[in-house]
Amino acid sequence: MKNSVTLTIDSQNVTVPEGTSIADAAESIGIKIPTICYHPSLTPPAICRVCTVEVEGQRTLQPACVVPVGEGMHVKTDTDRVKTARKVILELLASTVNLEEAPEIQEQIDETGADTERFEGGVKRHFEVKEDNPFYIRDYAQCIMCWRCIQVCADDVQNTYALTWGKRGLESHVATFLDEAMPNTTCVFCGNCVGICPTGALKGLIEYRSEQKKEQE
Amino acid sequence: MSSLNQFANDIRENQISRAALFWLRVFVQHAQNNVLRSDLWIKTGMEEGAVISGLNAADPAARVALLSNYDFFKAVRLKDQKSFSGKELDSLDWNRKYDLSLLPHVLESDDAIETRLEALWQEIGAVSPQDRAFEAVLENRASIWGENIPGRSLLPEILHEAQSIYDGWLSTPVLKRISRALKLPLSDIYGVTEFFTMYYTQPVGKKIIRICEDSACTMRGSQEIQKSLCKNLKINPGETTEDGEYTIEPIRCLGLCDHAPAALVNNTRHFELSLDKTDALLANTPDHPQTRNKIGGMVKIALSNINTIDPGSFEDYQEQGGLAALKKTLQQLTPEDVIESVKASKLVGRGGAAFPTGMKWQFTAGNPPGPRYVICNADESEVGAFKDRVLLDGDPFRIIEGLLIACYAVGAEQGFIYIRGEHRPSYERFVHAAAVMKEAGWLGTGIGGTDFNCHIAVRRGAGAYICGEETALMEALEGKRGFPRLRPPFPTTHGLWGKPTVINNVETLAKIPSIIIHGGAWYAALGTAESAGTKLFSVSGSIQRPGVYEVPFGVPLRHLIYDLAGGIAPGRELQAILTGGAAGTFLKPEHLDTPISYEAFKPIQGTIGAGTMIVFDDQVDLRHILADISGFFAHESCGKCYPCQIGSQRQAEILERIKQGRGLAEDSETLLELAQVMADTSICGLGQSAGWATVDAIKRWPNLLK
Repeated sequence: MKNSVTLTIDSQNVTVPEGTSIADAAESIGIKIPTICYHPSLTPPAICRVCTVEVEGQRTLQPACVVPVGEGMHVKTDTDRVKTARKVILELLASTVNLEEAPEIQEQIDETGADTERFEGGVKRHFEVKEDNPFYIRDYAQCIMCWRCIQVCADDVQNTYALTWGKRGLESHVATFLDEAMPNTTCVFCGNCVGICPTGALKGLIEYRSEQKKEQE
Repeated sequence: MSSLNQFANDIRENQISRAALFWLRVFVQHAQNNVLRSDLWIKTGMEEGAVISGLNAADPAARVALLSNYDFFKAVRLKDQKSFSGKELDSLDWNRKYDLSLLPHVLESDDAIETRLEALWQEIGAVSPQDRAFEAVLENRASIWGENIPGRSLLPEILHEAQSIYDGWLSTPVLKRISRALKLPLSDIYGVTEFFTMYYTQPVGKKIIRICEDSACTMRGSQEIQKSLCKNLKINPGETTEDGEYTIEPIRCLGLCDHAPAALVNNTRHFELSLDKTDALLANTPDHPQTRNKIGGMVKIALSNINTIDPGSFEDYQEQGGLAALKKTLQQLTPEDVIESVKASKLVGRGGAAFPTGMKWQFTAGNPPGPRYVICNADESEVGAFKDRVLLDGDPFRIIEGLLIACYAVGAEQGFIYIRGEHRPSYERFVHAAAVMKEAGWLGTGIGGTDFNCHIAVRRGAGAYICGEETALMEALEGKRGFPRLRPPFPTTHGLWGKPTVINNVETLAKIPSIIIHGGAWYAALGTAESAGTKLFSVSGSIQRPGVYEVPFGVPLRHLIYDLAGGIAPGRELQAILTGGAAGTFLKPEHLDTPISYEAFKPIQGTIGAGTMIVFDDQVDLRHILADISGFFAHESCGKCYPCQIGSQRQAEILERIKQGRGLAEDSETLLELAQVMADTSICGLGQSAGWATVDAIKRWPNLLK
C-alpha cells in the first residue's frame, strides 16, 4: 500500500496516494485542469505548459501533469497568474498553427478568452501536406508539436523510430530521416501516430480524400 | 552503351560507390562460362565482403546501381527464362532467382576482363581512403574517447570526425554507417544533426566563414564586413558559392568579444577584422596567434597563470605551483575535508546560478555508493561571455586539476569536460593536456601513486547555446538532442545517465586549487560578507580595453569599467552597462559607485550572473540591442516547451518591428506579459530569462519602446 498524501487544491482538502500528479489529484475532486500534450498512455513530456498551476513556495508555475503531490502542499489552479499563463500560451499557439481541427484546444481558447489574433503577423508553421504513402497524410501546418507521434513511434509504444525532430526553436518540426517519404523509412504503418494525434495533422488518407472531395463539391 | 572506362571514371568521381567494383569483381571471379546465379553471387559477395573493413556488402545499393546504371548485365529468370536488361534491372524482384551474365560488349576487348578488372581493383579497391580513415576511427573509438562509455554518447564526436574526414558534411551512406556502428536508429541520428548548427547533411563550402553578428562585433562593424564579403562572393548569408569554395554562415556571439569584430573560418579564429583585411579571411590565414588573452585585475586567482605560463607545457604549470593542490588533496585530505574546505570558502557557481559549490558537492557525495560523475561545463556561449574561453585557452591544467579534486571529493571516477564547439583551439588544448597528464600518471588509474582512479573525457559541443544549461548539456553528452530535462529530479541525484552528477562552471573549478592550498577562510575573506572571493568579468562593447578582469567582490563598478577596462572612448558618454549578459539587466552611469557584489547589486537590480558586462556609449540605440538579444534567444530556443519555443520568437518579432520604427501602443504591455508568462512557465533558464533584459529596459526607460 502506498502512503497517502494530503494537500489543498483551491482551498479544498484532498487525500491521494503518494506519487499522484497534481492534475489527477485535482480531477479526483472535480477540478479539471486543461492539458494539450498530455496523454495517459505516454510518458508526459510536460511541454505545452497549459496545465500550469501555482504551488505555494515555488518560484515558477508548475506543470500539474507531472509534478507529484506533496504533503501539506497548497495548490491554486485558478489565480490570475495561472489564467494569464494559459491564455498567453494559447494565444502563442494560435499565432503559429492552424487549429481548425483541434476542437479541444478551441474550447480552451474560448474558456480562457485568448485573443487568437494577438500575435498575428509572425512566422507560422508552414508546410505543404505530405501525401507520400497509401495510408495517411501529414499536414504539419496543423502540428502543435505535442510529441505524441514521435513518442508512440519510439520507446513509448512501437519501437519503430521512423520519426524524430527537425531543426529547433520555432522551426522545429516532426521529421523522418533526411525528410524521406514514409515508405523509405522504418515506418510499419501501424497507425498509432494517426490515432493519437490531437489535431488534424495526421489523418487517414481515405478520410482526407473524402474531405477534399466534399470541399470541392 | 556504358564502358568499363566510364564505370571506372564514375567511381573515381564518387558518382558510384567503390563497392560496385567489388561486386563486379566477385561476379567475374566466380562466374562459370560467364554465368552466375544471383543468389550465389550475393551469398559469395556477402561472405567475401564481410572481411573488408569499411565495405558494407549487406547494403544492396551498390549492387543494384551496378546492374541498373550500367549496361553490363542481363538477368534470366529461372522460373520462366524471361530475360531482363538495362533499366529493367532497377526493379528486379530479388526474391526470385536469376542467371546473371555479362553482355558481349563488356567481354569484347583486347585484354581479358579479368586483367582489366584486376588493374582497376589495384588502383581503386573496394574502400576509399576516406572510408578507410573513418573505419579506423570507428574501430578505435573506445581507445580514442574512453573505455566503458556507452556507445551513443560518442555520436556527437563521431559526427565531428566524420565531417572532418568527408569534406565537411555527412552524406547518407556515412550516416547509415554510423547508424550500424552505434546501433542507433537513423531518425535519432538525423534528429541530432538537425539540432546542432555545426553538423551538415548537405554539401557545404570548403571554407565556412562565420562572422559574429552580436553586440560587441556589430558595434565595431562586423555587419559591413559580412555584407562586403557576400557582395564579392555573390551569395547571401547562409549560402554557398557556386564553385563550392565558400559558405557564409550567420552566427551569433562567438565569444571573441575582446577581439571584436571577430570571425571563424572553419575552426580558425580571425580577430579584429576590417574591410581591408578580408583577403586573410578568404585565404584563412590570420596574422595573429589562435589564442590571445587580454586580462587584468589586481588579485589574480583564476587568472594567475594566464599569459605567464605556456598553456601547452605541463612542466611550466608545475613550476608555477600546479598540482600542489591535488597532491595535498590526495596525501592529506579526506573527501569530507575537501568538501568542508570548499564550503568554508563560500564559493558559489560562476556559471550564473550562484549555487554554493560545497553544498552541490556534498549533496552528490551523500548518495548511496555507485557510479557518479563530475562535468566541467565549458559550453560558454552567451552573448558577451568569454571569461571561460580565456581560462580554457590559457590554463587548461588548472581546470583539470580542479576537476580531479571535485571527482575525489564526490567519489567520481569519471569526469567530463564539455567544450563549446566553436572553441576548437580550446578543445585541442584540453585533448593535449589530458594526454600529457595521463602519460605522466596524473590521470587514469592510481593517480600520483595513490589508489585514486579518475578518467577525464574531453567532448565538443556543436553549436547550441542551450547546451550550457546543465541538463541539456547532459542530454548532449549522452548523444541526444540538447533538450533540457524536467526538474526535479536534480543532477545531484539524477544526472548523467541518471547517476548523481556534479556540474561546475570552468571558473568555479579554476578557483578550487587555490582554495585547497590556502584554505576556505582565506578565499572567503577576499570578498564581502555575502559575496566571497573574486569574480571574473568579461567586459566588452563601447570600452577602451575589452578583456577579462578578475576583481574581489566589493570593488566599485567604476573600478572595473574605468580603471581596468579603460572607460569609454574620448568624446562619448556612458549610456548603460548590460550586466549578466543577454539574460541580464541594465545599469546606468549613476550606478558606477555601487560595489560589485550580490548584496549591493540586489537593490539596484543589477545582475552578476556569469560576469558579463557589455558597455554601451551614448551612440548605441538600445532598441537595436534588445532586438539583437531577443533574436539570439529565438535562434537558440530548443523548441521543447511552448512558451519559449513560440514566445521567444514573438518577442523577437515585436522588438524587431520596434527597431524598424513600427512600434504599436500596446507593445510594452504585451512584452511585459509575455516575459512574465515565459518566466513562469518555461522549462529551463533560457526561456525563463529570455525576457528579462527587455522587462528591465522598460522599467528603466519607460518611453524606450514607445
